[in-house]
Amino acid sequence: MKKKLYLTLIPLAALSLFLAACGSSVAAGSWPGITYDETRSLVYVAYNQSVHALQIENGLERWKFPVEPQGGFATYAAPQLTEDGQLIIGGYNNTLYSLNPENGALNWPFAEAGNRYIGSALAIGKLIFAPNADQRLYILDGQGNLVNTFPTQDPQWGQPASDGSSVYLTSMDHFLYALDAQSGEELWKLDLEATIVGSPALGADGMLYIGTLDHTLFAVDAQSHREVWRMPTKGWVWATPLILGGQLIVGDLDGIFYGVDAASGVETWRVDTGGAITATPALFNDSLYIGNEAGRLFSISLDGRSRELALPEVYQGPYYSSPIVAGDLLLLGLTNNPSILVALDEAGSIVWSFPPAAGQPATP
Amino acid sequence: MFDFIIVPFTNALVFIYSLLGENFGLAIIVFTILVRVVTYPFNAQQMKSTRAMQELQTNPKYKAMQAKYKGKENREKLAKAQMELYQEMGINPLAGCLPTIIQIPLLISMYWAITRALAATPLQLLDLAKGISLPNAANLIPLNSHFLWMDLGQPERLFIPGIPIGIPVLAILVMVSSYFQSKMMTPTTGANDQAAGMGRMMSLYIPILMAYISYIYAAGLALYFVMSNILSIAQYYISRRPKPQAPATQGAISQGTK
Repeated sequence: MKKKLYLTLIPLAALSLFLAACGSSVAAGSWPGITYDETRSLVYVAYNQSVHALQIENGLERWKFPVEPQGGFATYAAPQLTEDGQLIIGGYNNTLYSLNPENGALNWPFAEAGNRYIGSALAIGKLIFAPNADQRLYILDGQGNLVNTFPTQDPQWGQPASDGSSVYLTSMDHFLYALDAQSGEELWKLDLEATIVGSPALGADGMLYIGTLDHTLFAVDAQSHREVWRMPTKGWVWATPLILGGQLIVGDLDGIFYGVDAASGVETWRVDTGGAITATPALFNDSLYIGNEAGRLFSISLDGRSRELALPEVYQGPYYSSPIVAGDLLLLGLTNNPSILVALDEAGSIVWSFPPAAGQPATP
Repeated sequence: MFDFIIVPFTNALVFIYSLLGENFGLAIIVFTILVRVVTYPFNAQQMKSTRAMQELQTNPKYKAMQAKYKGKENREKLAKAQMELYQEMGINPLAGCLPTIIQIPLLISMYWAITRALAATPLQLLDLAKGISLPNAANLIPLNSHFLWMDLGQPERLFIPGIPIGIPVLAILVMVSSYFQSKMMTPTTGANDQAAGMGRMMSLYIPILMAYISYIYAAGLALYFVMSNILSIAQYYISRRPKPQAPATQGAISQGTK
């Protein structure tokens, strides 16, 4: 009988473990979103239950929001600064917040969305364009009042891009949309034939570059709103391409990192990094820096010669976040690591790192 | 941990979804039926064991044994005598536990398969990208998570005009169906008070636990629970139906062929 009791209790214990493992409210849903504020010499990093504002010179925390963890609140999208000095962050609690970037004080919340804010908002002029997983783009004024919404057929995960007069929005419904930047009304749309997760990259010449999950990178002319070329890739393309003069740089989920001629869509070089790439590379010290899901970090020259960097083991982990250049530092977001941000100098040495549990930077 | 189950489960769910007009609710229902078909031998063994244990209660030898070894001081003797009787009758008292143990990895894998397939966060979509091997996956994602009034990726609540709170219909259905299933599957152990008490406790505890899981997790998991319980109850009643006698069967066949 004892055996039977144990055999009944073991499944119940396993179920309890299941509850504990699946029910953790702090389990990460995404990776750190990083924004550098040159005016204030602050870097904002949104990850899990907080947004932290850190002093760029030493990584000291200036403030965090919320001050104490709030049930249901999580944030990952890179915070966005508006022209009038607000910091916009989107939450997984279906709420968009405006904060004072100096001290993290709440200006206003907007809680009318029906789902998570996964992509960053875009601030253009006096309007804020916030894509939401409830299949709507929320267009707000600077006081957090709803001005308009723009519906799509599927969730919107990518941050919109804008040239000032139009806003370019991607949706998982396969379409690229162009909206009027003043009213939010649709100007045109183009079917890219597969799910789009990432954001479009907009060139100074009015060309848009968008990756899809159907192993394709597209170039679209925003003036004629027609496809100019498409380039097949090995894996799904989630990352937003980096535009560098006449060259596009983009990675795919199969770990291939491509140099592409922006005019023709012809691949000029590739590097197999050996792990999924979700980030946009950063140009730092005349080299491209990109990390991948396998925890490998690369420095790649503009003609495709790669060099793998080795950070100390304690700073390894998947590199999903786009690296950010902040003056003479390169900021790397870390996922599944006690530190969520690492600052490197031009020599590749660690200047500081930020473990949120400590609230203070760790010395290398 | 259970990736070797989660990945095929996820692919199967998405494949069935693509066959059923991109309806994730129907995909879960059909998938649950397939899981029950695959695990049928284990479930049948459990039911056979449960029936044997129930029939044991009316066995004169068993009753006599209970009467003979009354009291705490005879507990070991009673246990030994029971084991001998089990052997004599060809009953394995532990046979009923195996399907329950098998359910645990299936349950956890189903939870993760539903979560991955619906991919509500970037990390979940990355997990899906790594595991999915269907050629048209890029056109299926994101999966339509709406089924009847539910969003299968969110905890389920039915909002009725005039009622200020959402009613967790699926959690209630899970609790009721789990209760009936537990009552069915728990052998009544008569004079053995400790075992009977444990059985009664499990009949209450398991439905409450299942209902709680259904209340806080994605509705897709609760739909799986409800379907699984209904199929289990149906299987139990079908297996209890008396089998037709051999001569009568032969007669029916010969009549039909004339």
